[in-house]
Amino acid sequence: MLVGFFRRYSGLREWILQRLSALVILLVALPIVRLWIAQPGADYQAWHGLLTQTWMRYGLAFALLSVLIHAWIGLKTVTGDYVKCRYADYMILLILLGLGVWGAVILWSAGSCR
Amino acid sequence: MPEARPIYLKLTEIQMPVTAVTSILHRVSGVLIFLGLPFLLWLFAQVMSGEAAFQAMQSLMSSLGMRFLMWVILSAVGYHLLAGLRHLLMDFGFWINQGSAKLTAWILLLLELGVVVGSGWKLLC
Repeated sequence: MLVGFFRRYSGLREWILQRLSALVILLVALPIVRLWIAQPGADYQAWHGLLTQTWMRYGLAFALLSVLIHAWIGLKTVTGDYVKCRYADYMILLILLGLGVWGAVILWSAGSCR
Repeated sequence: MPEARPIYLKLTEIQMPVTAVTSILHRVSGVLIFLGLPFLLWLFAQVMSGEAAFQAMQSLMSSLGMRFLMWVILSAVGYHLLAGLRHLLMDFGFWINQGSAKLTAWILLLLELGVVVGSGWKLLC
Protein backbone atom coordinates (compact mmCIF):
# COMPACT_ATOMS: atom_id res chain seq x y z
CA MET A 1 0.00 0.00 0.00
CA LEU A 2 2.87 2.30 0.86
CA VAL A 3 4.60 1.21 -2.33
CA GLY A 4 1.51 2.17 -4.29
CA PHE A 5 1.46 5.53 -2.59
CA PHE A 6 5.05 6.25 -3.52
CA ARG A 7 4.58 5.00 -7.01
CA ARG A 8 2.08 7.79 -7.53
CA TYR A 9 4.07 10.40 -5.65
CA SER A 10 7.52 9.62 -6.99
CA GLY A 11 8.68 13.19 -6.45
CA LEU A 12 7.89 12.92 -2.76
CA ARG A 13 9.55 9.53 -2.64
CA GLU A 14 12.77 10.90 -4.09
CA TRP A 15 12.64 13.95 -1.81
CA ILE A 16 12.39 11.73 1.26
CA LEU A 17 14.99 9.24 0.00
CA GLN A 18 17.49 12.02 -0.68
CA ARG A 19 17.17 13.43 2.83
CA LEU A 20 17.07 10.04 4.50
CA SER A 21 20.10 8.70 2.64
CA ALA A 22 21.99 11.93 3.33
CA LEU A 23 21.28 11.57 7.04
CA VAL A 24 22.49 7.97 7.11
CA ILE A 25 25.69 8.90 5.29
CA LEU A 26 26.32 11.75 7.70
CA LEU A 27 25.79 9.58 10.77
CA VAL A 28 28.14 6.89 9.53
CA ALA A 29 30.75 9.39 8.37
CA LEU A 30 30.96 11.10 11.77
CA PRO A 31 33.04 8.46 13.60
CA ILE A 32 35.37 8.25 10.62
CA VAL A 33 35.87 12.01 10.43
CA ARG A 34 36.34 12.18 14.17
CA LEU A 35 39.13 9.63 14.02
CA TRP A 36 40.77 11.43 11.12
CA ILE A 37 40.74 14.78 12.89
CA ALA A 38 41.46 13.70 16.45
CA GLN A 39 44.18 11.17 15.59
CA PRO A 40 46.04 12.40 12.55
CA GLY A 41 48.68 9.73 12.80
CA ALA A 42 46.18 6.95 13.41
CA ASP A 43 47.72 3.66 12.48
CA TYR A 44 46.28 0.50 11.02
CA GLN A 45 45.14 -0.75 14.42
CA ALA A 46 43.14 2.39 15.05
CA TRP A 47 41.44 2.42 11.64
CA HIS A 48 40.86 -1.29 11.42
CA GLY A 49 39.65 -1.26 15.00
CA LEU A 50 37.02 1.34 14.18
CA LEU A 51 35.86 -0.07 10.86
CA THR A 52 35.47 -3.64 12.05
CA GLN A 53 33.26 -2.86 15.02
CA THR A 54 29.97 -4.67 14.43
CA TRP A 55 27.89 -1.51 14.59
CA MET A 56 30.30 0.18 12.18
CA ARG A 57 30.07 -2.67 9.70
CA TYR A 58 26.30 -2.40 9.66
CA GLY A 59 26.59 1.36 9.46
CA LEU A 60 28.93 1.13 6.51
CA ALA A 61 26.56 -1.25 4.75
CA PHE A 62 23.69 1.16 5.19
CA ALA A 63 25.93 4.07 4.23
CA LEU A 64 26.98 2.30 1.05
CA LEU A 65 23.36 1.66 0.12
CA SER A 66 22.55 5.26 0.97
CA VAL A 67 25.36 6.59 -1.19
CA LEU A 68 24.04 4.58 -4.13
CA ILE A 69 20.50 5.85 -3.65
CA HIS A 70 21.58 9.42 -3.02
CA ALA A 71 23.95 9.51 -5.98
CA TRP A 72 21.41 7.88 -8.27
CA ILE A 73 18.67 10.38 -7.48
CA GLY A 74 21.06 13.30 -7.71
CA LEU A 75 22.74 12.23 -10.92
CA LYS A 76 19.44 11.46 -12.61
CA THR A 77 18.67 15.14 -12.38
CA VAL A 78 22.09 16.17 -13.59
CA THR A 79 22.11 13.87 -16.62
CA GLY A 80 18.55 14.86 -17.37
CA ASP A 81 19.64 18.47 -17.45
CA TYR A 82 22.74 18.13 -19.58
CA VAL A 83 22.80 14.86 -21.48
CA LYS A 84 20.50 14.29 -24.43
CA CYS A 85 20.84 10.50 -24.43
CA ARG A 86 17.83 8.95 -22.73
CA TYR A 87 19.91 6.01 -21.58
CA ALA A 88 22.42 8.16 -19.73
CA ASP A 89 20.85 7.57 -16.36
CA TYR A 90 20.77 3.82 -16.93
CA MET A 91 24.47 3.93 -17.60
CA ILE A 92 24.97 5.83 -14.35
CA LEU A 93 22.82 3.24 -12.60
CA LEU A 94 25.02 0.45 -13.94
CA ILE A 95 28.14 2.22 -12.71
CA LEU A 96 26.59 2.74 -9.29
CA LEU A 97 25.48 -0.88 -9.06
CA GLY A 98 29.00 -1.95 -9.98
CA LEU A 99 30.41 0.25 -7.24
CA GLY A 100 27.84 -1.15 -4.87
CA VAL A 101 28.86 -4.72 -5.61
CA TRP A 102 32.52 -3.82 -5.09
CA GLY A 103 31.68 -2.09 -1.80
CA ALA A 104 29.66 -5.07 -0.63
CA VAL A 105 32.52 -7.41 -1.49
CA ILE A 106 34.95 -5.28 0.52
CA LEU A 107 32.61 -5.14 3.48
CA TRP A 108 31.68 -8.77 3.71
CA SER A 109 34.87 -10.45 2.67
CA ALA A 110 37.10 -8.48 4.99
CA GLY A 111 38.18 -11.09 7.46
CA SER A 112 39.38 -10.63 10.98
CA CYS A 113 42.52 -8.67 11.69
CA ARG A 114 45.57 -10.16 10.09
CA MET B 1 8.21 22.64 -38.91
CA PRO B 2 7.91 24.63 -35.64
CA GLU B 3 10.76 27.08 -35.13
CA ALA B 4 13.45 26.16 -32.64
CA ARG B 5 13.01 27.31 -29.07
CA PRO B 6 15.17 30.32 -28.24
CA ILE B 7 18.21 29.54 -26.12
CA TYR B 8 20.17 32.09 -24.12
CA LEU B 9 23.12 30.67 -22.21
CA LYS B 10 25.68 33.46 -21.96
CA LEU B 11 26.85 32.45 -18.52
CA THR B 12 29.28 35.31 -18.32
CA GLU B 13 26.51 37.83 -18.96
CA ILE B 14 23.63 36.35 -16.95
CA GLN B 15 23.49 37.86 -13.49
CA MET B 16 24.47 35.29 -10.87
CA PRO B 17 23.49 36.12 -7.30
CA VAL B 18 25.42 34.34 -4.56
CA THR B 19 22.62 31.80 -4.24
CA ALA B 20 23.14 30.77 -7.85
CA VAL B 21 26.81 30.18 -7.09
CA THR B 22 26.09 28.05 -4.05
CA SER B 23 23.54 26.06 -5.99
CA ILE B 24 25.79 25.15 -8.89
CA LEU B 25 28.64 24.39 -6.50
CA HIS B 26 26.34 21.93 -4.74
CA ARG B 27 25.80 20.14 -8.04
CA VAL B 28 29.47 20.27 -9.02
CA SER B 29 30.59 18.94 -5.64
CA GLY B 30 28.10 16.10 -5.96
CA VAL B 31 29.46 15.08 -9.35
CA LEU B 32 33.02 15.34 -8.01
CA ILE B 33 32.17 13.00 -5.16
CA PHE B 34 30.64 10.54 -7.63
CA LEU B 35 33.85 10.62 -9.66
CA GLY B 36 35.81 10.10 -6.47
CA LEU B 37 33.81 7.07 -5.35
CA PRO B 38 36.13 4.48 -6.93
CA PHE B 39 39.07 6.12 -5.20
CA LEU B 40 37.27 6.17 -1.87
CA LEU B 41 36.25 2.54 -2.24
CA TRP B 42 39.83 1.62 -3.01
CA LEU B 43 40.95 3.46 0.13
CA PHE B 44 38.38 1.54 2.12
CA ALA B 45 39.46 -1.77 0.57
CA GLN B 46 43.07 -1.14 1.53
CA VAL B 47 42.19 -0.44 5.14
CA MET B 48 40.10 -3.61 5.33
CA SER B 49 42.71 -5.84 3.70
CA GLY B 50 45.28 -6.11 6.41
CA GLU B 51 48.25 -4.20 7.68
CA ALA B 52 50.41 -4.66 4.58
CA ALA B 53 47.72 -3.25 2.29
CA PHE B 54 47.14 -0.40 4.71
CA GLN B 55 50.79 0.55 4.72
CA ALA B 56 51.03 0.25 0.95
CA MET B 57 48.10 2.65 0.77
CA GLN B 58 49.73 5.01 3.23
CA SER B 59 52.93 5.23 1.24
CA LEU B 60 50.97 5.80 -1.97
CA MET B 61 48.96 8.50 -0.24
CA SER B 62 52.06 10.27 0.98
CA SER B 63 52.79 11.60 -2.49
CA LEU B 64 51.77 15.20 -3.08
CA GLY B 65 49.52 14.29 -5.97
CA MET B 66 47.49 11.83 -3.93
CA ARG B 67 47.23 14.21 -1.02
CA PHE B 68 46.01 16.90 -3.42
CA LEU B 69 43.37 14.50 -4.75
CA MET B 70 42.27 13.76 -1.20
CA TRP B 71 42.07 17.47 -0.51
CA VAL B 72 39.84 18.04 -3.52
CA ILE B 73 37.53 15.20 -2.54
CA LEU B 74 37.35 16.31 1.08
CA SER B 75 36.59 19.87 0.00
CA ALA B 76 33.83 18.57 -2.25
CA VAL B 77 32.37 16.37 0.48
CA GLY B 78 32.55 19.20 3.00
CA TYR B 79 30.83 21.63 0.65
CA HIS B 80 28.17 19.18 -0.42
CA LEU B 81 27.40 18.42 3.22
CA LEU B 82 27.24 22.05 4.34
CA ALA B 83 25.16 23.08 1.34
CA GLY B 84 22.95 20.07 1.98
CA LEU B 85 22.35 21.19 5.54
CA ARG B 86 21.43 24.64 4.26
CA HIS B 87 19.05 22.93 1.84
CA LEU B 88 17.47 21.05 4.73
CA LEU B 89 16.99 24.22 6.72
CA MET B 90 15.21 25.82 3.81
CA ASP B 91 13.15 22.66 3.25
CA PHE B 92 11.73 23.17 6.70
CA GLY B 93 11.03 26.80 6.10
CA PHE B 94 13.95 28.51 7.77
CA TRP B 95 15.48 31.58 6.15
CA ILE B 96 13.69 31.12 2.87
CA ASN B 97 13.20 34.77 2.00
CA GLN B 98 15.65 36.29 -0.43
CA GLY B 99 17.69 38.28 2.06
CA SER B 100 18.14 35.38 4.44
CA ALA B 101 18.88 32.98 1.63
CA LYS B 102 21.70 35.21 0.44
CA LEU B 103 23.01 35.55 3.98
CA THR B 104 23.08 31.82 4.57
CA ALA B 105 24.71 31.41 1.17
CA TRP B 106 27.56 33.70 2.22
CA ILE B 107 27.86 31.86 5.54
CA LEU B 108 28.05 28.60 3.61
CA LEU B 109 30.86 29.93 1.44
CA LEU B 110 32.68 31.16 4.51
CA LEU B 111 32.37 27.80 6.24
CA GLU B 112 33.53 26.06 3.11
CA LEU B 113 36.57 28.31 3.03
CA GLY B 114 37.27 26.99 6.50
CA VAL B 115 36.95 23.41 5.28
CA VAL B 116 39.20 24.01 2.30
CA VAL B 117 41.87 25.79 4.30
CA GLY B 118 41.63 23.36 7.21
CA SER B 119 41.85 20.19 5.15
CA GLY B 120 44.47 21.75 2.93
CA TRP B 121 46.58 22.62 5.93
CA LYS B 122 46.14 19.16 7.37
CA LEU B 123 46.93 17.34 4.15
CA LEU B 124 49.37 19.51 2.30
CA CYS B 125 51.61 21.01 4.93
